[in-house]
Amino acid sequence: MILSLLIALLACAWLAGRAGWHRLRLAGVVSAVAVVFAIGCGPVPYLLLGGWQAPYAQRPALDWAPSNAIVLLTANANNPPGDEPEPGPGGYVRVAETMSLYNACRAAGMHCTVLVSGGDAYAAGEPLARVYGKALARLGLPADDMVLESRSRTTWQNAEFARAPLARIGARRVWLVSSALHLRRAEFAFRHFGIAVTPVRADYARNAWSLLPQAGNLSLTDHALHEYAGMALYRWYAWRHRAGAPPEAPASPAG
Amino acid sequence: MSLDVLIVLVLLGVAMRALKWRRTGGVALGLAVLLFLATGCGLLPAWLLRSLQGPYARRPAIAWAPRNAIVLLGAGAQRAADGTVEPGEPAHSRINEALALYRECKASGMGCRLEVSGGDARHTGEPEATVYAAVLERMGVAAADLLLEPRSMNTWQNARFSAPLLHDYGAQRVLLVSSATHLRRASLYFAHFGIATTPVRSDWLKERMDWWPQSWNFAVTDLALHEYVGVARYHVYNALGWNMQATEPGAP
Repeated sequence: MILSLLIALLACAWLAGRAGWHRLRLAGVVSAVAVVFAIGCGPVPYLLLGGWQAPYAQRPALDWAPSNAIVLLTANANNPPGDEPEPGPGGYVRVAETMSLYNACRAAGMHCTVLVSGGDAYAAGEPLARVYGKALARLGLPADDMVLESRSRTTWQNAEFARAPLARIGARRVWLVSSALHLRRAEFAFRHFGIAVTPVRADYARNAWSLLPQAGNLSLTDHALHEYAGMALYRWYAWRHRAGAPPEAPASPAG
Repeated sequence: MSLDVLIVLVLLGVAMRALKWRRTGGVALGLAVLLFLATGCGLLPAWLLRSLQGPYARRPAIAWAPRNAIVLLGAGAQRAADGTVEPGEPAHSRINEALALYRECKASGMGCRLEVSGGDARHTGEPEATVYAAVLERMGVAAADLLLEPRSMNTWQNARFSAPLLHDYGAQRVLLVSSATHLRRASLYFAHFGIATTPVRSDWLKERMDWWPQSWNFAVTDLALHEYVGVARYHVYNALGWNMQATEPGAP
């Protein structure tokens, strides 16, 4: 998204130059460079991340119910040559958080079932739920305490398709594990589908501060903007599906 | 790094055109566009990553020796809202892999030590080694099986300060756990200090091939370039005789 903005600015500058508007061309180039510095040196991602993640900065107190479900929202996956599909770089931290939550639950003498949620949204050749389930098993999670939901392809569907397995698990309390950046949208979707969750963050994203622009800050800014846009979309979904709303208009016969 | 090169090329091109060196300015701007597309659309990072990660794609099958050391290299830490220090996001793949290997090693009934190497490189007030060790203990690693190296501020020092710990334990097999992009440089440094390692990757980094430029690809390119620069610097220093020799007095 950020690169598209830069391309647009530089394209405008080029067109202005062709039209002989040299002042405008200079303004385009200068503002593109300014954008790169404002984002790449840290201020813009700092502002975007701060308020968005803040509600999830503190992990909740672990007051377990006798029976609990821990929902792991899967991130991306990779398929390295000659090896099996495995979690992508953003996924390990969620696996680790799920595992430490499960260990804490067992240490407290309570019962916890882990619901791993995710279909094959990254074309890894295997549903994310199974890929992440294997990663959890390697860390010692017993298969008996694991349930897979392998259909969902979006966060919205993570929530929608969690209802049935959660009902089967019969948990009194549902803990929702994901990245702090993702939890706001995820919690919104789960609440929309009537699932009261206690969000538990895995990673908490931080920008890098630097005098020269860093590409990592651009990538992080895009990631944050993706969450902002996704949240707007989900608010619209929720409004469209609100209680008492007329049912969806049937698709027209022509389309 | 990739952004700096692009900015310099664009500013150079604009300045030259302003000075009426239209040809040279055009070449600089053309190069900038080419580099921007090659990086952003994924071609350059794909090429850089392939030779960096390729040798480690397949995780090795491990024959456990009587004494095994699993070396976990630190990847940053950060202070959380409640004041505690926790591993940074990139560290978790390494912690998970080290833990999984430790569990396999213990299941084999052989001797296992998990060495955590990392000082307070991010100035959080606590060395990475103790931060990660606390996580590992919560995940079931016995405190007696942990070896901590809390001094190193970079990969070179990871190797330098780990070597004596591994010698003291008498490790017959050393598994070096780190990110796939980091393993070439890390195993090179460990070899320099006389430690033969079996590298085991903890993650896998992938570019995003796309017809439209992606910021992710720039971040990945910078990460890969950092590794290439580190490896090149090692060879240059070796040629110049600037690298500390492991056999020198005072060196571990």
